[in-house]
Amino acid sequence: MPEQRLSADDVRQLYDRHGAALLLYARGFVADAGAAEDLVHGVFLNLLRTRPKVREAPAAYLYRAVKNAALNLQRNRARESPLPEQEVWFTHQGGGDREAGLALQSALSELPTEQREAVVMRIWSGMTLEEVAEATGVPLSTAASRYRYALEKLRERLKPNERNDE
Amino acid sequence: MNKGNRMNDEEQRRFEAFLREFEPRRPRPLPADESAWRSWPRLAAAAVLVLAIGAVSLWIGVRHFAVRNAGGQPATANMSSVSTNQRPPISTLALTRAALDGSPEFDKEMDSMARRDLPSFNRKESMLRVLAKE
Repeated sequence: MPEQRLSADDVRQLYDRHGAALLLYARGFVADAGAAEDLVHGVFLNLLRTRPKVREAPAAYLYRAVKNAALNLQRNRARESPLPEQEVWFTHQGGGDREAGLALQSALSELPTEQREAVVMRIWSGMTLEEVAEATGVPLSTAASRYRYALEKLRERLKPNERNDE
Repeated sequence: MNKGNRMNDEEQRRFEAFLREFEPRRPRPLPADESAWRSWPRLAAAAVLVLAIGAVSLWIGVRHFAVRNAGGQPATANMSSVSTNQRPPISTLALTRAALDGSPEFDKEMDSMARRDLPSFNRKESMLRVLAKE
């Protein structure tokens, strides 16, 4: 992919498209909901201010930037006790269904990091498996199998909610 | 992973659709004007404005100098045509040019400036003379 410098409009469009999924992704690393939001915000503000040259797909760049920032924050906060997580990560299109949202939140947070990132990128960022593979730096077959394992585990955990939904 | 749990393609599609019904919460919006001053058109406009101001200043300076040295003669030639006592003050630029040329007009101008600008002992109202009397 050729090197590109993103315009302010590009950054804002990326925020609209991937902001929510990136926040969900960051919450997998950072227990504090406010800190996770600040982190995602900071990545985008930095992008607006510095306009770095991006050599990969912008979404891949964003996921990597959020992960690095989250891991840095984790290191800095290693000695702090995690804050209790009260906030709900999801809203349901049909209104209510808070229980199913909480069940999904719990199931998602129990996935291994590499499976969680595959499912977040694919489902909520709308990335292809090729893009997921590029963003995570693994072969396509690895990305595909991580995604499939993640779906199977989530389905096992969410079976009662899925049945109620149908 | 237990192979009995494996989804077929249709089941996978349905489950993916189920997951997409859940929308992750959106982060707060980005500030509206964060990048406004960094956009290229604004930078270009600012650069043009600075250049225009510089060009106008330069033009005014050159014109001012040309008026002083009317007729387009060199500064040193102009100096010699005016008697020492009637000389108007010479611009720093003309004086510098005369000094660089090694022109005798430079010395004349310095003499003139000394008589004009430095305190004189000879004049009645001279401060030096008043102080000397006291």
